[in-house]
Amino acid sequence: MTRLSDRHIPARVEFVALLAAFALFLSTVEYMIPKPVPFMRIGLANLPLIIGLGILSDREYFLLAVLKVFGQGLVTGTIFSYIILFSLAGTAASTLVMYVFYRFARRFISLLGVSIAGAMASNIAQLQLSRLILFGDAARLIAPPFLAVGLVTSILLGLFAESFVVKSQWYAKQKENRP
Amino acid sequence: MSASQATLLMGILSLPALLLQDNLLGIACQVLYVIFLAIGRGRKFRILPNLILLISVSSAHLLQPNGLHLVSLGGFSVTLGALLLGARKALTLMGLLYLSHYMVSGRPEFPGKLGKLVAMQFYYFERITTGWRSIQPKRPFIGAIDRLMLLLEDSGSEPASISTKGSLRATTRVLITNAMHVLVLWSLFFAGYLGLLPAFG
Repeated sequence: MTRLSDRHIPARVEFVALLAAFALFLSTVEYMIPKPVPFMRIGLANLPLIIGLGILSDREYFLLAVLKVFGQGLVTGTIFSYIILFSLAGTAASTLVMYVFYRFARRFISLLGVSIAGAMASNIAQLQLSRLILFGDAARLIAPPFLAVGLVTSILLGLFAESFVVKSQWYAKQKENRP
Repeated sequence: MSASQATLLMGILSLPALLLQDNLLGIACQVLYVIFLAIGRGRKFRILPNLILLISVSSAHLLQPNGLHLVSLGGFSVTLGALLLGARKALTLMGLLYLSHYMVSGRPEFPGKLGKLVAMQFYYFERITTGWRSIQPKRPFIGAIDRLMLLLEDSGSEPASISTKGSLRATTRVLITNAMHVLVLWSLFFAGYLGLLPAFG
């Protein structure tokens, strides 16, 4: 057994690993929640990415996205399957869009808006991928329900994230320590 | 080489045999084989999600008619070529999924900085799941999560440790078994490729 600090990983990177672990934890919580339709995802695991916008540096933020995808792929065993491509495409698109919205339009958009924008970007990227890999042109048939479900769940997640950043003492502490 | 690395290597060597398979019966046999491999490693197999994938991908391909016309459903033409193409694609995806399940079943360690970060992520994941059990009450959810994160931060100053013990070394038996899996999957590929298995459509 070795101390973490012996591994020469800076404390901030360790903090990113903690947030990535938090994302993994939330995805297991989501797994236990019954869903009315099979393709419905609440996207709870994206919460660390949304709240991370306010407490992480740019580099840390993108590292968190990479760790989230990689970790989820390992936990679910899908890392060498087509599912990882969907996860990667969705997370890359949403991470980038949320980052741009938060960094450059923070005055005009709340975390709720950021969450909706991220979810729509993620869903569009995944729909494009499903057109290429799975369904061909028939992907347009699943687009309306897929986007509608994404909209609803992103609103719920955005409201949750807004409430979390207001109420959480831990978040307030991290915000103070932000580099 | 560790046992988990041997399993990972077996999967990597077998991936092309699934990806390049052109014969429907061949891919079906390969999928069954990797499903049994994954189940053997404790993975669950649920029929419904696989059935949904098979039906949805096959039906999506019906929108582009191809090959022998089978039946018309309200002006919609069901063709054999499209049906088989969809089924083959769905089976390939299922095969890759279960092969992936098998490949990571031994929780392989990845090299480099990313590997260390993932190890750390799993270390914290275990601490979070353990810590979550001690959090009471769990409602409201935000309050519970907040207490959990504060708890982790407070205990963060204690000597944090992650296991650096390497995985078990691959025994000759493990290596032979994995080599046999590669052989079976590639044999099924060649059986399809050389026309030893019946082709549909």
